[in-house]
Amino acid sequence: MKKLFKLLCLLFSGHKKMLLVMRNSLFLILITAFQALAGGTYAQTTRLTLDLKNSSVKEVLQKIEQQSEFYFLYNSELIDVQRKVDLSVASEKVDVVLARLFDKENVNVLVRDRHIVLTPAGESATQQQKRISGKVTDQSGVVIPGATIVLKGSTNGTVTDMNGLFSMSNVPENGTLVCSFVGMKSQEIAIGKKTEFTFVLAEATVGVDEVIVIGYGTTTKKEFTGSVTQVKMENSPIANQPSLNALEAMKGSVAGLDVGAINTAGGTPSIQIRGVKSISGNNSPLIVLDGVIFMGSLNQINPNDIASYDILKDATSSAAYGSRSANGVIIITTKKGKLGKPIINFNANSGFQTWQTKPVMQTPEQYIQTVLDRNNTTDMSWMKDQQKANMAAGKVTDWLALSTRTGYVKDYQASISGASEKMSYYLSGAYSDSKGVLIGDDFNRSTILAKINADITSWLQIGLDAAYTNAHFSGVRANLTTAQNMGPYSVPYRDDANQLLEKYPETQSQVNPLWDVIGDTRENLDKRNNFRVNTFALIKFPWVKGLTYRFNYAGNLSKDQTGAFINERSYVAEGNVTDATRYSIAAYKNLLSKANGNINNTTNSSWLIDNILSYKNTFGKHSVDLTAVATRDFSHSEYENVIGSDFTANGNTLLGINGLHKATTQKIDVYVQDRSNIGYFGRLSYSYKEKYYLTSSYRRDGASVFGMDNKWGNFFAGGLAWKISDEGFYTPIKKVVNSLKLKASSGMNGNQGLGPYGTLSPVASGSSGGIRYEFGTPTINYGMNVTALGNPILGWEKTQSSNFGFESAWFNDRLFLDVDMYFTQTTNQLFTRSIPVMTGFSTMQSSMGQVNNTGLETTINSVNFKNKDWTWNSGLTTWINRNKLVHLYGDDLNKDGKEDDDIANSRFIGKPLGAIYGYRQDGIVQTSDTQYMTANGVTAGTPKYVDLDADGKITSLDREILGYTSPNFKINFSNTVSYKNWEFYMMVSGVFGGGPGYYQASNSTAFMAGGTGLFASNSIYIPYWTSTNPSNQYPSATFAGDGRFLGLMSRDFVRIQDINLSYSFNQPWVKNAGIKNMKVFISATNLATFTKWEGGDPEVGVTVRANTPSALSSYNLGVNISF
Amino acid sequence: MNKLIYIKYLWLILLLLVVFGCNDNEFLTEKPKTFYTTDNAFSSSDQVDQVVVGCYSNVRYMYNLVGQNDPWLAFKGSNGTDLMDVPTIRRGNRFNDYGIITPTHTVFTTVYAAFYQLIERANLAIYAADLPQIVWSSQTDKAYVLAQARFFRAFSYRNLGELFGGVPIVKEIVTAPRYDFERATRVQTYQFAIDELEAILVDLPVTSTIKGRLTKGAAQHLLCQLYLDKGLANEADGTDPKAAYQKSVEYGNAVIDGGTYSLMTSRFGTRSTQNPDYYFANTIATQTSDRLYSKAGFPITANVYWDLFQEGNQDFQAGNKEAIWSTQVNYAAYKVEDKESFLPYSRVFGGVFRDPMSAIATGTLEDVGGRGIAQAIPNMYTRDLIYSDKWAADMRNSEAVFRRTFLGNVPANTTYFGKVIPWSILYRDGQAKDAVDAAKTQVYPVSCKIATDKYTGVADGENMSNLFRGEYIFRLSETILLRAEAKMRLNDKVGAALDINLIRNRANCTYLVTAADVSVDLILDERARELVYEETRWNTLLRMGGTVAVDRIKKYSYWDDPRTTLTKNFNLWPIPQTVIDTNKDKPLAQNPGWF
Repeated sequence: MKKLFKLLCLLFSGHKKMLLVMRNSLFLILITAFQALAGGTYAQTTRLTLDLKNSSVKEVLQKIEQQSEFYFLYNSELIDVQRKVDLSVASEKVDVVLARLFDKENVNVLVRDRHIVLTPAGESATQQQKRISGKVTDQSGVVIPGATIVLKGSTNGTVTDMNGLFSMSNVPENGTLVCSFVGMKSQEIAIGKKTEFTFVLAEATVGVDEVIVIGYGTTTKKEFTGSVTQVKMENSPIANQPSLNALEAMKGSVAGLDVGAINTAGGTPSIQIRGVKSISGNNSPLIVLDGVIFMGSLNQINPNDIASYDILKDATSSAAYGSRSANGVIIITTKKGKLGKPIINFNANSGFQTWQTKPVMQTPEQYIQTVLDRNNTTDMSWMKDQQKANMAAGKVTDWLALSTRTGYVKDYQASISGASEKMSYYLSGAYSDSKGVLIGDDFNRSTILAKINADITSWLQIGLDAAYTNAHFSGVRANLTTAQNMGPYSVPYRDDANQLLEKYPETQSQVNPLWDVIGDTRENLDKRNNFRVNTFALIKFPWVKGLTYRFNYAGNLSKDQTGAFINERSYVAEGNVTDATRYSIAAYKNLLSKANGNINNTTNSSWLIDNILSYKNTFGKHSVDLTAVATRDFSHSEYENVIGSDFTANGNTLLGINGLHKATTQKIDVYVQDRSNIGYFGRLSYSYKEKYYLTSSYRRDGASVFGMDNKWGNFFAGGLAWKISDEGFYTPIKKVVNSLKLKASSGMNGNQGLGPYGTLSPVASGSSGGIRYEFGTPTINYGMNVTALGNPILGWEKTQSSNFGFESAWFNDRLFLDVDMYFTQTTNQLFTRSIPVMTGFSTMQSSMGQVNNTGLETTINSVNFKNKDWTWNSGLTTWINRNKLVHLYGDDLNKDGKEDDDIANSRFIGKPLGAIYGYRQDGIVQTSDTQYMTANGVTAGTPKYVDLDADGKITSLDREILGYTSPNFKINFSNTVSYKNWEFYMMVSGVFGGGPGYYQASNSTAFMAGGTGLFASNSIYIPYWTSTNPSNQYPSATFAGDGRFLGLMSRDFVRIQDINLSYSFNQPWVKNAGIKNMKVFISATNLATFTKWEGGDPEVGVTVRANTPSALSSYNLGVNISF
Repeated sequence: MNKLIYIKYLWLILLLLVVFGCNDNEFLTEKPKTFYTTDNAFSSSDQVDQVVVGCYSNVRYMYNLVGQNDPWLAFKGSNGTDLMDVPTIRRGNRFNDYGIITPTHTVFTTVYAAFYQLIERANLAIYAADLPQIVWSSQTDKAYVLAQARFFRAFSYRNLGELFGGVPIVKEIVTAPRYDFERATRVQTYQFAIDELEAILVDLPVTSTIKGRLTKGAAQHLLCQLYLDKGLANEADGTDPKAAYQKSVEYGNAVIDGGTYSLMTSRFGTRSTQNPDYYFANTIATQTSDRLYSKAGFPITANVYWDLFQEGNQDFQAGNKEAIWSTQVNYAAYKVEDKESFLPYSRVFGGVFRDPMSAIATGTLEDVGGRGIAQAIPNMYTRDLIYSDKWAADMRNSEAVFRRTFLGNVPANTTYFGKVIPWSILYRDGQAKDAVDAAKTQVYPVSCKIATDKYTGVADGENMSNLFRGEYIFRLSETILLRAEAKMRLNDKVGAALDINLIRNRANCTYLVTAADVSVDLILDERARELVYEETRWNTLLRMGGTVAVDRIKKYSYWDDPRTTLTKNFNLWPIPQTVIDTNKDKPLAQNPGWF
């Protein structure tokens, strides 16, 4: 306990006033938890002492709950708990007390450990109608205790016992039974002649009554006026996909949400909601974890702990986080313990990864021919002895194969969860291990999460979540550029038999792609540790119904260590592969002065406090929900880099990175960064007759990153919704369109888009400033200079957005169609602007201009087919986004009545961001194009450009917009088919330009055989132009770039993103083995890609010889068992 | 119940504390902890000098670190001029194919920007020197710091004027962005630099005890060149250049005849009693004394010109009376942390014998000029033509200075092992054109300016890529050649010939100049002999105006590119396209011939 307390002190240092509270609540939680976990026949040993006069039965039961760990399950409509009683017992067992409290004739008492279920006792002799019985289970056959079964339209009903069984009397044959349970869809069964009933409840996944999480509170989808998409992870097929990152699973599931590809082990994808709004500021949405702004890295969240995502897309939804929500908000809710028996869950998942879009390198013959043609020579003297020998012997090395492998992913999870009425807990641990396709691309991670919520009193609830993540990214990835540059006859090993690497496979310049990756020449560290704690206290003010106060405290501490140590052996001299002396001890000894390394310790700590006051009440047909929030947060980063070099004096480097302090030269670099935010927020939600809904909010925000006079921003938002299907006039079409809600919202949000100190003009100085000079002696004089031109007027980037849409259910809730349309205007753009270098600086941050985004999102979910054994569901999401630069600097210097473009930065008024500006290519200059060649001083075989102004020459006036880098249409189609215990899921996604020239990128290496700057580099085969075989697409081999050639290529693609097949066991042997749930599955991600892009992955935009890995394909097998 | 109420109050108090307990604006104020900003950076006069230190560092980057990228290979490496071209293996870096050289070329963008960044530093020092909180120990100190800053500014404008013509004059630090810069004329640009230098002459010491610091001689040399530049610009404008040329001669006189500087005529410095010697060996292990060139019958005799380029000999303070201003390089500082304190000339300019000559003379050791990668190579003009018919008559073409004798170092090749490899073999006479090109562009004579027989740091893992000597920015020889040019342009050809003969006499040349010989080409040829690898040839060619640059590039380039693609008559580099595009409030005219 003391240790734990100390740890907490560490976490919260600098914030001491919280400690006392923290300590108390923690203590309480732990005591409750320990008691709950203790075993024994509790009912037999626990004694109760009560002395109550004129109290209601309810109060007595509450008193017992307070005194003991018992909790009661009952339906207050069936058990009369308002009855006043006098009760006085001293040290009695619970069954005795209950016998005194209830008449056996009316109430059945069932005691299971600490759970006590009260149900109305059987029939009375006078009501001789019909007696029925039955069972309630979930879809996997697990019984549900505490489910309510009510005769529709009456107060007659009952609650299931611990075995999920119920019985009822007085039921008429023409009646209907309604069975309901929290978190499940209600089910109705007509009684008829039957006396035995089985209710199988489905989890409420799709539907209009979902509880959705919005900023500082929850609401139901029915009531909400904005645009929110919820993705449930628990028990959904996408949870079977092998994702190691919290966001990966959402890819393609949400219209308007773009999740980028992961191309390295443990990588984090890029995310973006509803297009690029900021010219160069941050476009990533805000992440909120369990109700609190998440200030860590997404890698720290174990995807398996996630219960659901809520993606807030429009202004009213995200208004609660006004300051940082212009790019939308992703709320992550982690799993909780559920009422009932504790659940122990195991999940194991492993598989392999491959590189599907691996480029095909040249054959040795093509390689030689290309090298000669590229250098316009027939001379072979560039080839080294060993290469010549290899060529003579036909010994070829496939460098790309040598640098890659079949990667794998392993992922193991275990969790325990459970809940009583007063307390819930969820504990999980996970270990993931992944090796990417590139040698050296390794990742592993352990995470632990503990969540406890407890009702301390009737008015106080507290909770604590604590998580720890430890991740290793250590390792150096093989260099993809050199792996593709190396010629087939180059020499990978100086000693083939022992596979000892040769550093210079071509004797000089080009380093072996595996050098420093394998072998003992370099150490690499990348360890990341993260602790985070979220606590809250919720007070229900007893004197005002519906008024609550919630206090959140979130603390986050990351300790990351990165570093490298490159020992003397890494610096081996160039030379012929036969010259083994280079690798001798004597040679290494001379290189000790080059050995060097560094350890970089980075500590990020942050805290956040929310004070939330909310009031929720219903007055007849009026419902009101008021929220007021005061919040502030602070984050602090410290970075210390320790650098050591030259180990000559030390004599060796045996200690490796841990011997940095033995280095002759030692340096240190320190950087500290602080950032703080304050927000005040108020929101009113009002509904009338559950048909008309209104939400409005105001937030005032302050951020430290802005200039002194521009720190504060004000953000308003409002929305309306109309449940039109509940109106009388709607009835005629209700049969087809079962429900329809119209909604409209508008509001403003902010974006910080600027790092700390971005408004200042920093000065470089001293050793870390990097400016050095000597005046004839070894003494280094450090220079000083301003490194950036500060801009003190930088303030909030603001996005005004409007959303219009409808939500509808069709054909007896078989088809759900949601459509949203939005318009956003982002003003006061924060971006890096190129400025005349005569100022001494080439860029600066500015705040001006406007970007508009318009988009349309549709989501269709359907139940295509359903019978006893078969169900087939489909989901289709599509989204279109167009952005447009509306204003920039507001100048019209050329007086053409139109605002001027910023050509230097490729920003054009009225056009989308990401414009590609340049010379439109018109094939290749052919030998017959003599006029063109003379006018432009070029030779045949070079790219030819369109002479826009028809002056006969290609000049800077011939530039135009050639296309745009952004995609603007995405489609995802998913299908889930289940047959009995089988379930099959597949998702196909497509990303398209959706317009002329959209979603293009320069891919010149896919067209050019030349231009590498290296004499004999390898590549993919290019059918280059020659005078005898003139191409009109590929320039001649000698063409090495002209500053104009781009080689634009479309990145459109269609991809089979996810496939998985699972089987759930529910055979008797499974039950007999005490297994509650057992599922095995196979899954595959990124199965096939259809694209015209060459060189690598279109999604990542990988080009040939780029040192960027592509998105990988993975194939997995997994099992999920719970007890 | 009392306790309960108490707890509730506690919560309320806490709530109030959290909500109202802190001052919002104080909480949001940024206070950088680990770096300075312009608001608090300057507190002492030492810091103003640190800004000036940054200027020295910038200049060293531009003049020493030639191989960092294309811009410096063109600016200091003279790539693409009449002197230098690229080898077969680096055709991608060619800077004389006018089919691909446009105003967006990185050479122009980077060089232009670098000089304005130097101006920004100089302006910052000038601004900081006058800040009220700065206390100077003496007015002389302050004046000297200011003088250095103003020198760097003038130096930048001279370079910009020569390369790009008239440019915007920025005299103060810029605290808010501007988009309305206007080009001054070329004469105005030079005149600004001249006025600055003339104003600081009194503040510069005649000599300094500190190596590398600027002295009066440097300013006078710069003035000599600036007036020459101004005269040439006057000629182009049609105004009378005479006064400018006379001033040029005047400042030349001040340096050359002022008594402080003189050409070195006898052996001096760190190796004044040594001669260079080499091993015909391609591994260090085989560098045994029996393989010395001198033992094989090829001893080399050093001379004073060779001394000028030995490590430790580039400073006036070290007894070198012709060193006016040199960059500073220090191996000890390099080892510790200053990774810009070196001279990568062996790497950048050295040949690649080991490719075409691998069977006869291979390796990366001293005998083949170190570990050259031939980023820029001397044209046939630079290596042979200027010495043809007078091979032995010039110290600058002596074996010690411009080595042309190479002994085979591959024992397996018995024909040439330890024997002189004839140039017909080195140049692959009679083979296919490709093979000859490969040989001629990777194998060429090795200058003592770019290589040495005694590399520093080999024991520490240095691989004979770098020299650790300072580099001349202004050497008296150049002052003399500038004065000669000014005299020639004043029609004093006799005076010009006398000046050129000062240089030739020191080099023990048997061929001297007569007044009748004096011409622009003669001056340029003499500069090529004396200042190869030292001068920034682009500046020289472009400042002369007319078609000097175009004609000579077409005439002497190794490859045919300029002969087929150079159709424009340019005598200025283009204003970088980004400069025109970003300066949106005032159109900047592009230089003639560029589009």
